[in-house]
Amino acid sequence: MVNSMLVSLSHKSLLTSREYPRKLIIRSKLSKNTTRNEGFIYEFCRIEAFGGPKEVGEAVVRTITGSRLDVKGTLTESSLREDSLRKVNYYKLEFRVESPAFHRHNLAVCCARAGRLYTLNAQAPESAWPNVKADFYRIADSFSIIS
Amino acid sequence: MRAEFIYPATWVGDQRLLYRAAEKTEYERSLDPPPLNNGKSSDGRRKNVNEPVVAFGPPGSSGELNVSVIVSQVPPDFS
Repeated sequence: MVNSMLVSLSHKSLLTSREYPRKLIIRSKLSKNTTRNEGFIYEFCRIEAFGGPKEVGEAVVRTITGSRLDVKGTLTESSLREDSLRKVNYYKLEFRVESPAFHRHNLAVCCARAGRLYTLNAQAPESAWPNVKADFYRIADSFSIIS
Repeated sequence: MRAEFIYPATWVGDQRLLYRAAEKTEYERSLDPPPLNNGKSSDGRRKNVNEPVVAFGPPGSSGELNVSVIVSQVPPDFS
């Protein structure tokens, strides 16, 4: 039952979010230290600069597990979604993270634009995954940069 | 830059993000001199960690089931 709420947020106004029926919008802007030239370069920085979906997925899993021997991460799926209109590519990554204390199932979407890396991560206990799987795919497929 | 996604209507926002945003704003606006512990947060959290800008989950849950978004800056020298 993924319905929808529209919440308008910015980094500075988390406390004053407004809710509407539909979806969530995140506004982001370049830092004060970013010059125009850097912004120009960033416009061309895309997620592909980090590698392909599988390569990025494996790097994400490695980052999550770190050097902990008791935590095991497994990338199970990785795919590319293209938005040719806005020229943004999205990597959808599905992976499991397991330890003696927890078993989690994650679905993440990564994209880069204007010098920023956007990562949506939806996670659930492995035991809950069958029940939330369809919702998670819908959340992941809805994630997009809109301007 | 703006991004959007949909999430279950019954889910609620993670209040911890609001508290952290308030704490950060308070820290930035404060006229007091910085603390003697080199500006480290009293709870020991690292300031350079990329925290979610938004997070949602079922009300009353432990946080195990959730969706969040992190926005991080790509280093200018990244190639």
